[in-house]
Amino acid sequence: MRIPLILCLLVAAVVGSYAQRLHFRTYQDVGADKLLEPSCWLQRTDGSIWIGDQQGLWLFNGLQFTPVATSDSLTGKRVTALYEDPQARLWVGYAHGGIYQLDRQQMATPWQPEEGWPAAAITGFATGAAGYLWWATYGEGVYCRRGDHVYQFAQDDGLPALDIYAIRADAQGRIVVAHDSGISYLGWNKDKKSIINLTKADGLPDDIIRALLPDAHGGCWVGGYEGGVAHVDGTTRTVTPVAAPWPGGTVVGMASFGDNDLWVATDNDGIYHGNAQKNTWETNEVAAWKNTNIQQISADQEGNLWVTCKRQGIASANVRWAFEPHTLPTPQCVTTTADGHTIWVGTAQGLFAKDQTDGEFRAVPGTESLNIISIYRDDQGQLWLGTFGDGCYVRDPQTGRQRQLNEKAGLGNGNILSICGRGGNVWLSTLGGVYALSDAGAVLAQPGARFRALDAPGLGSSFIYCSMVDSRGNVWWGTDGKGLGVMYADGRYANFARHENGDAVGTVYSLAQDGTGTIWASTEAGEVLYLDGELLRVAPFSPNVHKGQFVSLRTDAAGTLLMTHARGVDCWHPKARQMVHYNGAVGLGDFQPALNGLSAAVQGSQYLLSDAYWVRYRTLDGAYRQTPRTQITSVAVFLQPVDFATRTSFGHDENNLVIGFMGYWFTDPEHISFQYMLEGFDQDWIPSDNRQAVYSNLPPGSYTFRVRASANGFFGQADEATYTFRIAKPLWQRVWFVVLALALVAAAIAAFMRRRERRLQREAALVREKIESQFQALKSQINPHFLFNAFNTLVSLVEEQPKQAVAYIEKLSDFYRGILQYRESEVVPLEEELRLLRDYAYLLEHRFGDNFKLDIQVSAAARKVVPFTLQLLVENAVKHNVISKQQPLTVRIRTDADGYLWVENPRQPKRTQEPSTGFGIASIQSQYRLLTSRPVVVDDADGVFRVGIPGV
Amino acid sequence: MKRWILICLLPVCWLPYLTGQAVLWRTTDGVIAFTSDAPLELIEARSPQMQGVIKPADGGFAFSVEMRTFQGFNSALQREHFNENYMESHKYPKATFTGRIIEQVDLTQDGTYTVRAKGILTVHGVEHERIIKSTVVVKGTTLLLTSAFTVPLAEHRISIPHVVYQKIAEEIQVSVEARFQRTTPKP
Repeated sequence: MRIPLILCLLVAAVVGSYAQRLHFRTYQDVGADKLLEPSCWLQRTDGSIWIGDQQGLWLFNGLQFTPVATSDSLTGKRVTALYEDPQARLWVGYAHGGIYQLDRQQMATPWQPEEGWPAAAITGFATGAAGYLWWATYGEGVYCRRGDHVYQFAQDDGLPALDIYAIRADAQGRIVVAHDSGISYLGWNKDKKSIINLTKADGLPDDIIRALLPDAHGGCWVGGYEGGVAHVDGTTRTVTPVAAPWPGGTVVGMASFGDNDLWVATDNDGIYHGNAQKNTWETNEVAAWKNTNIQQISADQEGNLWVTCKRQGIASANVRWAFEPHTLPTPQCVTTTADGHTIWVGTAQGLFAKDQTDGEFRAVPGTESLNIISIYRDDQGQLWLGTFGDGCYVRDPQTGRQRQLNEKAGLGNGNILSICGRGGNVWLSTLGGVYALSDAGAVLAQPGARFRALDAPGLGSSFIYCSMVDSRGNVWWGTDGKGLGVMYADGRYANFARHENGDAVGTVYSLAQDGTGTIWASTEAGEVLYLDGELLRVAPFSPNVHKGQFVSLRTDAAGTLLMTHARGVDCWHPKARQMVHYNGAVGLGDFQPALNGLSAAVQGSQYLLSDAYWVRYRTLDGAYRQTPRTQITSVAVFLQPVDFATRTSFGHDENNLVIGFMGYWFTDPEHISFQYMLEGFDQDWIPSDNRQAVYSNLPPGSYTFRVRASANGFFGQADEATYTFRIAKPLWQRVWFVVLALALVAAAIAAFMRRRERRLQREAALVREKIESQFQALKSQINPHFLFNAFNTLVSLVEEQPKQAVAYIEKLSDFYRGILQYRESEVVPLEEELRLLRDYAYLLEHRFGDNFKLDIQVSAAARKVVPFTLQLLVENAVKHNVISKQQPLTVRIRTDADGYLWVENPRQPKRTQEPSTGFGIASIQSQYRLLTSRPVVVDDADGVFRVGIPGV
Repeated sequence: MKRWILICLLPVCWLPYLTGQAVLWRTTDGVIAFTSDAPLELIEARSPQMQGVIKPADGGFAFSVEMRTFQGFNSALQREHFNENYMESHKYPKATFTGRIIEQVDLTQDGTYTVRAKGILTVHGVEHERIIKSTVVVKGTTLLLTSAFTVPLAEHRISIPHVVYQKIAEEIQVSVEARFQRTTPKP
């Protein structure tokens, strides 16, 4: 019984609101004479938009479609589902059941579980609270990847239908699917599948549920084939119909911009917009979207509504702005009732009114002759109409009673440019100063009310263009040439006429107070200023205003400062310090808004009048992007693309970089401009419009590339994308290399020094050895024993063989001359040494007669020896061996094949050894060591003593 | 175990009366093989005695294999361990897979089909729902089925002593190749 009762109470109010329409822009041309036939739409968390269509997958940036390749060159396959999981991976489902994932190179690659793909079209993906991935099919029910396996939820598990239209995870992570028998909540109860079904008997609008949209609180909106929309509470599973009887057709999709806000798309009966709580439904988008075969309707991150329909491609509209043409004669000011149900427009030809139920604006009787330039609705609902020349009219819209207030009521000037009020007080701004009226509520009933001229500094009787009561009850005026005037709530007056640079501010045309309490003013010069203490400062943004334009200021329901002017509307979000510019891209084409042409915010909506159409501006609840999303899309080194997600380090010769970037701002994609800066190289931001930055010949170092985008030239708090990388120093500039090189050089120098040292030492040793050997040689030659022997020999010769004695003396003399001649030389030719030796031998032969023989068998004569080497060795032999008739001594000198010179004698040791200095052979060895690497060989074997001298 | 045969066969008995041309595919000598590819040891075994029935009318199927018919292994002792310690073949003599085919295909017509069989896999007495992808080739009176899938031991409470865990893989690769014959039950 309860449900029919609710149904009776909830008769949908399909009256909606004013008939303004969204300004849709459609995108269908994908190039190459192909038209998009989209079936699904997805905006990823990075802001990019992806479209699935008959041909495959597309990436859309607001200007063009880029086809996305598949790794297995699957082409011409219809994409039926797109999904981004909590790990920001993109999943793509195809009509043939295939499931693909987008890899890092932006290529769709097949995802193949062991269990295989469904053989039916994928209709959606979702991730539940436990992190399992779910996917729905049209014909095979639902699949869930849990642990290592894929499980199917089908009829034998209790799922009543296998054709799944939609799958979503609600705010609590519950999986809900829509099918031909209602909806089902799917999950796992330990290892058991859990399925809870809701049908029409539970209150769903229809057996067939086509669309699902989770809300922010764990509930879910459901849309039926018939019967419209209902809300399902995910915890209690109670169903509440929200639009019954449903005025439209089959619901195929829903989108929402805030609690209870619903855009409901039907397949061929247009789009409905409603407030689910109030159950009011606008039908403004119904007619235009009839028979367009809508596939999907979605909300993006900026406040744009996206409609995906097979026949018209994709279309987007910013839902803040809605438009309707009008035929009003020169609208000049606008206001509404407190509930927003009626709108009044003051024109050059009187007042016009329109209710939400009316088709057209209608002239308000009794005002036709008035040129209304300002309008104010007071707290009691009375209308105050300021005219140009005829003073002010007060009107009770309920009764139609109306009264003119002019000079008779104390109004010194009849040109009312602006009216503001608070409580019972009303202030009129005229071309002759400000006039105040208290007890304004009673002005119609008591004709005696009189205006009082305000004599405030800066106001006087000058032109007052605008007025405003702020949140603290202070009343502000904009003057002609004297800046801002204020009457504080406590009655004090103040005047602010100085610019921060000391100049006079001049004329103020419009005033507003933003959500943070800051007072804003627009000037004759088209500047927008804000009050900072005593000074008026220029806004941190520069509005999109031509010099000399009127800028009319208002604040919306969220405290955003709205600046309307001929080029559109600029919205300054004071908390985020971001500015959004709305222009022709959202439908605000070339229009001339009147200075008082923007109404105050009522129920989140404001109305803006221009010459040709009137506009509704809606403040969206919730967080929407106010700046473009910026993304770095590619990095190329010498035109070769690199994987910049992993690669952040480059060689010194990889210093020619091209960095590509992209900005997503679907509200106005044509006007995105960029600023980039390479930290560590650029000194300042570089403006750019061509989506890439080129850096050639970067010196080694660490860099951070920063890029930000704006659609209005103001980059204050813009979203930034960064890429940090390093260009390595070349080998020869790296510390370790320099240290190593220095060490090598030092080692080389040290080695050279040491060799030089050794050479010097060796030379010194050689000199010393030579001196010693000369000394020894001299000592041995003038050995008294040798002389004694020589003289004894000579004595016997002189008497017996005088001729031979002469020869003997000559040989002795030759021998000594040889000694004198060669003692300075390091080496002498072998034949010289042999000649000396022969002289010496001659002396010995005369001494020992036939008992001593020298046998010289030397072949190659071209060698050199240390002087006196042979003489020393022969002398040694004579010294250490017995020489007698019985034991004659033959000393043999010969050369061998190795170039050694051998001095050999048979060993005949004397019984009493002559004392040896031990110098002889050792001296020869040390001298030769300095001259050659080959050793002097001393061999005492087989009774033969031999010494080998290496050739030099 | 007998129940599923009954469940499968009962409709088979009735069907000819209803449709007039119910067909069953049967095999008694299907080959099922498994591989355990562990870091230290590769174990392979196969049984040529897998039994199976496929009912094309509704996609229902039932497969069964006696655990003790598996031959192969690397030693007789290993086979004994397989039966006594791990599979407990005395308690759970059979492994079965029963369910239905997800795809709507007519397996009485010649052709090659890729199908996914959704059913309950019972190994070691533990039931687990699985989807197993198979290729089916129907030609005349024979149907050739090939399939490969994995069985994680933990899913079927087959515990491996820690000592041999490097010798037995945690996931067993199973392959099936079976030739079915067409039978038409007489009314």
